[in-house]
Amino acid sequence: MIESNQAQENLREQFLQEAKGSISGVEEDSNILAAILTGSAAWGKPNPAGDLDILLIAHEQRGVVYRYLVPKFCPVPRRTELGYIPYRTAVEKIKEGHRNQLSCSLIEQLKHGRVLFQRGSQGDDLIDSCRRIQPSRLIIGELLNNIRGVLREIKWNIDQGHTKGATLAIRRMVQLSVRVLLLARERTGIAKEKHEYRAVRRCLNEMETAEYERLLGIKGIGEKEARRTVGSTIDFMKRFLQRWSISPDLVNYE
Amino acid sequence: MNEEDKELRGILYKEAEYIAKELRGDPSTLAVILSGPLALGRVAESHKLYFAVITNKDDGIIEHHFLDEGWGEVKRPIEMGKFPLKVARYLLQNGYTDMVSYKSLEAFRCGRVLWEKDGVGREMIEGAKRHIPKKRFIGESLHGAVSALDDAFSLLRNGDYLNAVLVAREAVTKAVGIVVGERMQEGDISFLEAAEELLPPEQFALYEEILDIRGVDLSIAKDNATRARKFAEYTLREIGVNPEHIFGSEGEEGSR
Repeated sequence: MIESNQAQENLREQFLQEAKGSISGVEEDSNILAAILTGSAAWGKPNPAGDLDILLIAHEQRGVVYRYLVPKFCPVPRRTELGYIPYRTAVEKIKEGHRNQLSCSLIEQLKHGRVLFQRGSQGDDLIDSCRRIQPSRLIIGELLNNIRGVLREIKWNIDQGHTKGATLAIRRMVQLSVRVLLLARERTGIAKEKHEYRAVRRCLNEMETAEYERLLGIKGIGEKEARRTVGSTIDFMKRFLQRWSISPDLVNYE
Repeated sequence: MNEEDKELRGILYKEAEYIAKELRGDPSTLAVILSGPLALGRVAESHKLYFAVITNKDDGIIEHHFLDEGWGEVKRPIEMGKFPLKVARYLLQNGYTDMVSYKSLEAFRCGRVLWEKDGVGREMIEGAKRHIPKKRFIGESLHGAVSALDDAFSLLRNGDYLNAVLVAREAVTKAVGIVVGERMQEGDISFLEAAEELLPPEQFALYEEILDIRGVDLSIAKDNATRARKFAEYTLREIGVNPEHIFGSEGEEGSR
């Protein structure tokens, strides 16, 4: 365990050095107020083959800009995405709370961010405000309205004998219920689908998690079944892409 | 196209010309290409304006600008990809390998040149035809589905099996959403009904298999509905909300 932690620590250090390298010279640009490393490279368990995601907080800028460093043309050893966001926009998005996927994503990124450079304290201030954020009544209200709507959908489907439609609506209601709970208990919104189940395991006890898994139809799924489902999804996507005259290599995972 | 749409199209083209003029003011600009639905002749008040801009910059960086508040006189949200000529030519030569390169080529393929030097804009549009045979603008929605599938695969590889299944289902639902989106706007039809109508039968069957919704009988569905309601009531009480305020008392819920 100690060795494994040490390996992760070394990897994070490597990412940190590469991140610093990829923004070298940024301190000379007076328009950049702060640079923040985000994603698993900044915390948790970095993927050795993962990307570098860096947010640069700009003083004055027209809109939000993402810059993709194309490895073929840039002396960067790994895929790097630099997001430039005006300070004012970042503050406004954080104020929106977990209103939509974009604001959730910004908050969750910054909450776990690591400041690489800052001119004053802007990087720390943004990170602190994301860590302090309280769930908004308005957003919880919207989720509650959605739950109410989905309950009607479940009833309608059952009355019509549409068991498949009912099953999908039931799953949606359970997921919405969990999202409300996550917001209230952990002040966490769901920026990407993959974060939801991880949060569920943190937030619900064993019995509640078992009920969540049962209602979502994933209880007891093991490696074999998961491989079959993901394999079928890849197969579906390949056929889907071919039908749209798009190369299926976009979802080639071999 | 009705009169209202024709008028809107005229306004949007004028706005696009304005942006092109602004971009021409930058000496590094080699071509301004209008892309997105407007370039395909489709208009809606809610649509963004999309542009692909070719530059003579030497840094090998693709820039993606999100101008949600518009630009100057144009108050409409704008998305703009800026490509150094050598990167754009590399993409034309090598095709797409991921969603960033796919969306770039798609933007060229759907494009309509607003301004160019030395035929650079037309070169992009013609070159993209090799890789994207049909004019379509689905890259943005497709990106969500592909990205979710990437996540599902990565979760599977890390042994997070239950999460992998959940995210795989999201991926396939997003993909199906691309097909059924317009159909659902047309009338009172559910997502599943639209999917069954528009997907080839074997693909619809695979979709149902991935979602694992076949073989649920009505009594199980009813039992699950009751349990789901109890689950929701529990979460509501946990956050201090009286479930009756949301659901009413038993039997009060409305219809679809």
